[in-house]
Amino acid sequence: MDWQAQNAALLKIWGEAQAQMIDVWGRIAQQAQAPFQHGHSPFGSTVFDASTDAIRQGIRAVAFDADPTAREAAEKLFVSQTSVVRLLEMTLRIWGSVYPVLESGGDWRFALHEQMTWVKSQTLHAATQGLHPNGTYQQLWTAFLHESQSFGRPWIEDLDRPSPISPGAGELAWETYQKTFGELVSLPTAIHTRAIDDGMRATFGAWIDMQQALYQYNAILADTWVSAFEQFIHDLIRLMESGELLESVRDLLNRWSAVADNSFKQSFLTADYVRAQSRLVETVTQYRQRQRAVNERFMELFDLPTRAEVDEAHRRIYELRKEVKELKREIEALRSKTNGANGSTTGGGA
Amino acid sequence: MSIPAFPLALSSDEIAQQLIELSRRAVDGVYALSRVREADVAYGVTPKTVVYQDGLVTLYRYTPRVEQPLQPPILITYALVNRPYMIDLQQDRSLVSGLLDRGLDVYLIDWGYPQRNDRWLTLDDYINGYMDECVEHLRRISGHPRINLIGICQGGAFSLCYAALNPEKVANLVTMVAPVDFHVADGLLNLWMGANGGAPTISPEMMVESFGNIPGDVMNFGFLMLKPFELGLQKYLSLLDTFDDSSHSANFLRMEKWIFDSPDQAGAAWAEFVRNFYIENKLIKGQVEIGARRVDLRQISMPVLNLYAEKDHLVPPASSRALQGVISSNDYTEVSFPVGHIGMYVSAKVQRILPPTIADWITARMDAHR
Repeated sequence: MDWQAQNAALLKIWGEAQAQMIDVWGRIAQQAQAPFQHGHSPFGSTVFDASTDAIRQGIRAVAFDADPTAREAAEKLFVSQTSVVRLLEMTLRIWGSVYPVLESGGDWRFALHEQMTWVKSQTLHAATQGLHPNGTYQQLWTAFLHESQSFGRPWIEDLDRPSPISPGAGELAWETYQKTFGELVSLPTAIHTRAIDDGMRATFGAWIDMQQALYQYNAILADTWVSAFEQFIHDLIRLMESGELLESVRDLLNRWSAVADNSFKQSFLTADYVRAQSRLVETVTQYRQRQRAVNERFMELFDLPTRAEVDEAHRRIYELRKEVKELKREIEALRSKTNGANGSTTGGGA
Repeated sequence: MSIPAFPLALSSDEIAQQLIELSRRAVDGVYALSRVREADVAYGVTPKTVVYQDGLVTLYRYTPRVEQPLQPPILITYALVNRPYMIDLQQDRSLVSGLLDRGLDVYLIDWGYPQRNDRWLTLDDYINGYMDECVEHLRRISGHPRINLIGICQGGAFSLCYAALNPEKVANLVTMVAPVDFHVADGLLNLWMGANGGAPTISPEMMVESFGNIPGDVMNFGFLMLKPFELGLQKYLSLLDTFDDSSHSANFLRMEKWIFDSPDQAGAAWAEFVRNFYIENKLIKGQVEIGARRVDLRQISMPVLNLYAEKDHLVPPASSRALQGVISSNDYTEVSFPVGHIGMYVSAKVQRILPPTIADWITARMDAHR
């Protein structure tokens, strides 16, 4: 059987195994009486993907009144299984594309690198989906407002607000009104102050910084993940060339774990990673601070105590408690001194 | 059919069968876990009583197992970042139980769960405040001017500061996986916490300004990222091996409970610790100030037992061993164990050796203080 036929047969077996695994997990999914998808494809892990929600709901239903730690461990047990499936599939696919080159005496390292470059672009795309590291002002502002819906609603409503009169009817008069007095009172609605407006814009700036930092951080992680796979394949080829064989799927996964942890550790030690991590932490904290400033403006509008005010009250209570404690200590010391001088062992006095 | 030259001694069918079997065991595992109740994973098994309380801090006395426990008493100070019941996790993995079995009188400071109103607590409050009050309480009730102090992990750093500031109150000092030099090369956690010799670091002050207290979940995430695949994947595959014995899965779940039971960190104290200990490495340089008091480790002249883990990825051995070069004690002992940071508490083999190591060392020096 040639390699292509072998590959086709392998994928068929893989698909059938996936289907059986899904059947096994199906018991649990049914506990939640959630919609459950059944079927298999040569790309088996997509079957797992489709059923993940149903299985998770099933686990939560089954472990509803279990100890909370046990319940979470049950979900993580399932997640580890899906990770196993994906890792194995990816390993076999990459092996399948590299081995023919190795067998024919070609440059398998180059072939592996090419394959991993493609994987890297896919991984980066997936890892940074939903992030907005760049775009036009309007695109970014819209994305920001949708993410900030809880307090951005007035501005979102403004984006959706239709023109109050149809075009053509008294157009000149309307435009003159709009561009002079109208905009002052309509965008945003009158209840919102300039302070909130300014705050939203500052928060928007911080959000953009955070998106860019998140993108950079995820890019490094995606890169490290791909490098880990590349190292793993190198490791497997070394094993193959030495004639050593792994005994089980668990052995293979343990080996992957060791290679991957080492790969991530090496990446985490680099200046690039430390810089990206620092930048991410910095931008997240700045964004939170800007958000809080806006939230506090809203709280003030409704005469509610702000976080800053409560923290300040706590700080004063903390200092007062320390003072009281210190005073109590001094009183106790004086009392002991007085009792000692009087030759008395009992307390007394005011 | 086999996969061409793939270094796995299995055919495609056998691989498939092993995966299906893994799935079956995992599903059985989920059902087994669903039957676990809170009482099944109870921790902190050794009886104890509250002897002193101040705000969120509690001083416990473990019930002695002899009529006349050896004196002076032992005060155990744990880290702020995790809960202290790790040293009394279960019957056969309890440092506390091991010490009690050897006739010692054991007390523990429980730092509690800081709330938002505790964000202003400083290291001065923890060390010169709470810790000193607990020591004073023990001095009063025991009648001994000096107590024995065991400091674990960050609690070890606290104990070093306390012993340096109050050498007249400490008879013997035991430090366990305690960081001293925060700038050792082989420390990923050190690097992340800002000990990287000049490159941009985190700003602990800005984080506290933003978060108030530092959430326990954030700390946990950082610890897990140090070994993402071992702690995020492999551990749960190993869980499959425990379901044949309910005691093994209960052991696993107790560890899980402890790992994810991280208190929030009081903001001011956390920022102070990260800035002064991690980023500026002031402890070993003798530049740390707790309150207005300078910590000079050379003031530690009492006997010191320094325990460290050879495979510790959180507190590298070199970080702990740096202690010898900065104290003035002429009775310094180092003992290492071939485990990681957590293994010091939960390895069955270590728990057979560790309590007698500590107990024998302390009791040999107790006569000097009678």
